[in-house]
Amino acid sequence: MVIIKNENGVALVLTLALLAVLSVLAVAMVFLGRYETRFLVKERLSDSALYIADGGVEYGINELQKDTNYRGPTTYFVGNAGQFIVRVSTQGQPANYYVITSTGYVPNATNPRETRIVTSVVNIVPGTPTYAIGAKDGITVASNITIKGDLRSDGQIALGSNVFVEPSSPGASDGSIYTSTGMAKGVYITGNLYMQPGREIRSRGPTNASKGGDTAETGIYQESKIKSGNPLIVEGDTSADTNPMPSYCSVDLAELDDPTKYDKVVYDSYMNYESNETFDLAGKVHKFTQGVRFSSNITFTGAGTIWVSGGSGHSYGLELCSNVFGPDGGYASVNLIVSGGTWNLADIMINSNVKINGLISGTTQVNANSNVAINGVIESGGTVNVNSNVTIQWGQLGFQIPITGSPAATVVRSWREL
Amino acid sequence: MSKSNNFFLKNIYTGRSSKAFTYIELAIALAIIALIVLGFTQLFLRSAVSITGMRFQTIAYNFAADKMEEIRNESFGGIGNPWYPNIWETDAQTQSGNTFTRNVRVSGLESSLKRVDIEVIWTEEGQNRSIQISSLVCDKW
Repeated sequence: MVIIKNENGVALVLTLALLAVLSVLAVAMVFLGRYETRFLVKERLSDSALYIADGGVEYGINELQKDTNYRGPTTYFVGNAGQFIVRVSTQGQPANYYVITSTGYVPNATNPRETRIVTSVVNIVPGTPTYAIGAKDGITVASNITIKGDLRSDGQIALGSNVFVEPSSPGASDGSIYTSTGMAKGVYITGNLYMQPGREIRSRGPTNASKGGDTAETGIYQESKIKSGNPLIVEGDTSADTNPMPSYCSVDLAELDDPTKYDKVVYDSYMNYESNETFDLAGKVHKFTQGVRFSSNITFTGAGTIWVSGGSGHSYGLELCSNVFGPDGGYASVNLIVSGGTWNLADIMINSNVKINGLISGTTQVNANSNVAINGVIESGGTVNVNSNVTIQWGQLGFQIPITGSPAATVVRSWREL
Repeated sequence: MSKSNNFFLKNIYTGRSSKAFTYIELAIALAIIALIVLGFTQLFLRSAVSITGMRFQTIAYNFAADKMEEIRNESFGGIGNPWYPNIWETDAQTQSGNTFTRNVRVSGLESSLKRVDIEVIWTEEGQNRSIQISSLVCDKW
């Protein structure tokens, strides 16, 4: 080993070496700073692109609310900030669910510096009629009935004893009674009607003033039998509340029949399902062109719609016998619709021990017998007859179907970035 | 260490004119150091300015983004005066010794669709700087 005793010049070498190391560090710091600056610029642009893309989702929702057939693609400039392209798809989604995919570009789609893509699943929930029971020719309610929601008819509304008319939910169908008929006894209160404060009974029938009190000639008969709630009584009403019903069937049948919107199974003969069967609704519209009967002890699984479009020669177009429930004895998520046919007794017969969450709509007559619980709406182009121990609560339908008029709600089910 | 490794040191420090060479060496070293330091000072200064600028931009962007989120959580009817696309709302905040002014413009595209532009302005190195984010908001049923 050679030992160097002369240390002259070592300081210079060490200084240069140190300088070199420091230079490398300094260069590294400068480059790091520049890199971070570039990264931040990129991040800012990227965030701007995300807001643009999100704006595209909002645009898509707005278009779907106007027309659920909207699919895009639409290219749109958001001022000078950026541009988005939005598309809508329904592939793999249940009815009334839409997948909106929006790509945001900054500054534009032709030469983008940053691109972000977001997708959102949106449910355009069809509306629900404003009443719990609505019928053209009249409503007959037997004893021991609870109705949570409005009763509305263009004919007479006859109420048995111990009838409770209550609000369904705040701001929704609030538990009032309206008839547009000008006949006497348009609302006939047999005995013990229980209502809630602030509700009303309106009839276009003759007023107390013209007929001298609560007589058989007045529009609302036997007001004295109202036991609670002290509702506002208006006879000879001319307000919009007692306008005739615009339609006796709330369902947009043409849209319900559209195979691009609803999966449909068609049955071309009269169907009679035996007792103790399970019927899988499977998220579909089951269209019976000749009528259908479900015997006792039927369990409906899944959610869907039973639709009878025609037929004749039977007592009922759609008959549910006793003990018809959903899974585990709960509510069956099913809509029952009869839009045609000639039936000996009624369009729809719901017999005893039935629980349904849905819309029940018939063209002539709908009957609900004893121990029936309905969470939804009953309507008829004729009469609705509700027998004893029936509870009807206005509410959202268990299976969404197109309801004429404005949609009720838009629910954003998911939002994620691709 | 081999002899050849000491060649450089031997030639430098054992030469006859070693004293004069040390002065030259010192001058050159100083000049090199001065150049390097000058260069790095420029780089550092630019870098510092750039980093400060980015910090301001980040503050400005967060200021704008806060407002955008606030607007998204508002009811549709409560957002701006849609039919007059002027400054609907303006406010300011001071952070890192700088004042950031935020302008919100809302334009009604349709009765159920509005465009929201949020601009934040600040002054940096005597010059006005700004960033803007934009989006659409619709009236959901």
